[in-house]
Amino acid sequence: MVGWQRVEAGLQEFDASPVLASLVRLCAEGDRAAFRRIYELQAARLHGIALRITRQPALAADAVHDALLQAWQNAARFDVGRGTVEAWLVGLVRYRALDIVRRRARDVLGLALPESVDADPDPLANLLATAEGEALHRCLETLEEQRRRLIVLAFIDGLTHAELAARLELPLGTVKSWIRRALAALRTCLER
Amino acid sequence: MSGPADDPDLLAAEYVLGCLEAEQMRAVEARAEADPGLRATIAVWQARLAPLASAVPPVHPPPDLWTRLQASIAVPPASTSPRVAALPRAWRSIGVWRAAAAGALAVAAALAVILVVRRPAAPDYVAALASPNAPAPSFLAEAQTDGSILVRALAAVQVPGGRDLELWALPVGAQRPVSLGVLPATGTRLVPSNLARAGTRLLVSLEPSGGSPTGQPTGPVLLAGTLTRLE
Repeated sequence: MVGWQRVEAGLQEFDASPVLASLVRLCAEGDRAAFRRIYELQAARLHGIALRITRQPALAADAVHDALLQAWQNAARFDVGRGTVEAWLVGLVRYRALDIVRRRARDVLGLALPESVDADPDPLANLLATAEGEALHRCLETLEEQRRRLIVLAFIDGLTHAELAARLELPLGTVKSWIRRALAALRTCLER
Repeated sequence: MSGPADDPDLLAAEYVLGCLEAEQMRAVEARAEADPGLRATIAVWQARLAPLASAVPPVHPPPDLWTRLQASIAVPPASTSPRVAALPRAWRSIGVWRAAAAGALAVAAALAVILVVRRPAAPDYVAALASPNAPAPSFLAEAQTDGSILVRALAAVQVPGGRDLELWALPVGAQRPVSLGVLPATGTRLVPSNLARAGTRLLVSLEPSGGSPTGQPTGPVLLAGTLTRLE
């Protein structure tokens, strides 16, 4: 039996996700007002993510534009069984941002690395807001600090193996194998 | 040591993590196009790692971004069928969704009214009652002008034998929910109430047969939604 306190604590989860999923369904039927609502709810979050990867506002806006256009065009293919709308949109905007920087920005900028960003535990505290985030946070904490940094830098800043090796002054082979082991450890921990 | 080349799961993980070079990324994408298993694995990793994105603070995009997007979506998606494409116009009429049969159409239309269409002078409050990760609400609650609440089942809710669903109202600022009685898992029920106000949360909990013996929810809250004024 679940007491009212627990019920109250769990209520936060109830509103956002089904609303976004329903809006995506409406988009699949061509409803532009629903798409506008998704934009209002998600654009700043997606733009923040893209900006962190591209480091340039114009490129970040391009990534968000392309990702949301893809979401609109593929709304009918969104499968709620495979994850939340939030996770889907994060995926779309990250791939666009990564593609843009891999194709263009770094041609122009050379291999310029972004400003110093550390995997300091403070921003990761935001993960605790959701059940999935809490599980990931717990599993990240089981990793050695260097490996956790690799995972966080790769995901948030979109750094390649080579860029991570340069940033952390580690051999490329070490970076590759540490990341693989960290991902395998995360998988085991999250499946538990 | 085995590498991602012989472990598609780790290759998918590296792809989602974002540490692959451009040509490796494109190779994974090309493979995923033809391999539903790999696509599913990528989706699993996406769901696993996506919470990391919450560590990044939101930044408002430039104001012209919506204008650009609006222009880009001016052409409707190829999958849009004429029947469905005609719907948004129909949604402007509140009578249509009131009359709509239970099912996806009703859900979509109801949500369109709740979230999207701003109707002038509509007296009613509505709430879509949904579980946290469900694709669509299970019940639609509609406040009547006399304060009662009409609750319609939109989708099948699994109720174990010997248990009942119970409807609760939690007005803004209230510490405890008020029981609105047992709710049938299917069909429509008119619930007498004077709590139909904007912001009142409606909850559905799973209770012993006949309803909670304590006057407060004793089982898990399966569904929740907030009464929203249609205006």
